[in-house]
Amino acid sequence: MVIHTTRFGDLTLQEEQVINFANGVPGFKEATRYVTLDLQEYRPFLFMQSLDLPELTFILVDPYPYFSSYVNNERIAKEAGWNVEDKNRLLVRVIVTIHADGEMTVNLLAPVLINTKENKGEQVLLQGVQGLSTRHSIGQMQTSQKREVAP
Amino acid sequence: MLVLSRKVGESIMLGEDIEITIIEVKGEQIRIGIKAPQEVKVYRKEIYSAILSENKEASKAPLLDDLQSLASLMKKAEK
Repeated sequence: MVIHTTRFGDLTLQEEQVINFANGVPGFKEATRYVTLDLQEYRPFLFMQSLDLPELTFILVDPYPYFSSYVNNERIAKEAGWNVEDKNRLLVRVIVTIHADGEMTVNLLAPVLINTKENKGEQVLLQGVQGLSTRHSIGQMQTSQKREVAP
Repeated sequence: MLVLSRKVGESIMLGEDIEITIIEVKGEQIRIGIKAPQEVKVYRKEIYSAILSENKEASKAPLLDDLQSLASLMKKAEK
């Protein structure tokens, strides 16, 4: 199938690449199907592109290189109420926000959990874990490299 | 908004499957018990609202060129 996206143009995808978020994510309930795009030139970032809303793209990153003691995948799956057969198929990524002043923060309070075997995903709200917020800094762009953030 | 009065130990049913019970009242704090099917997500509203507004903010992802320069910065930082 071919899907249209605002940032990447038309993408040709296989049905099995589609990750289903049964309830969407908070703020975007109507977007329930996503695909992750791992492009060499944008690593360590990963894109989570909506198939339902062409303009909706989240930037994801692996939290563990930055926060080595972050909640593990099994615990997150438990918070989500998932029955886990194979924890190796559970991928944890966090959503990156790039602020107008160049600061990059990640949302550790609500990671994205993906079951790569069943192709389902959920943004899990870790209400039971202390000390997590929606904005943990992972870096700051240099002032000279500040860029306009797209509306 | 529907407003009901309940005593400690009394419950409210939302549909057939969701039961909300008043467990304890202590000054300004009320402890509430919630019985709901696994697929019904229960959130503290202020947390849900924080996630919602952060998602809105995060979805204003920058243009790809900008992100590419960011990505190269991150790679440098890792080295």
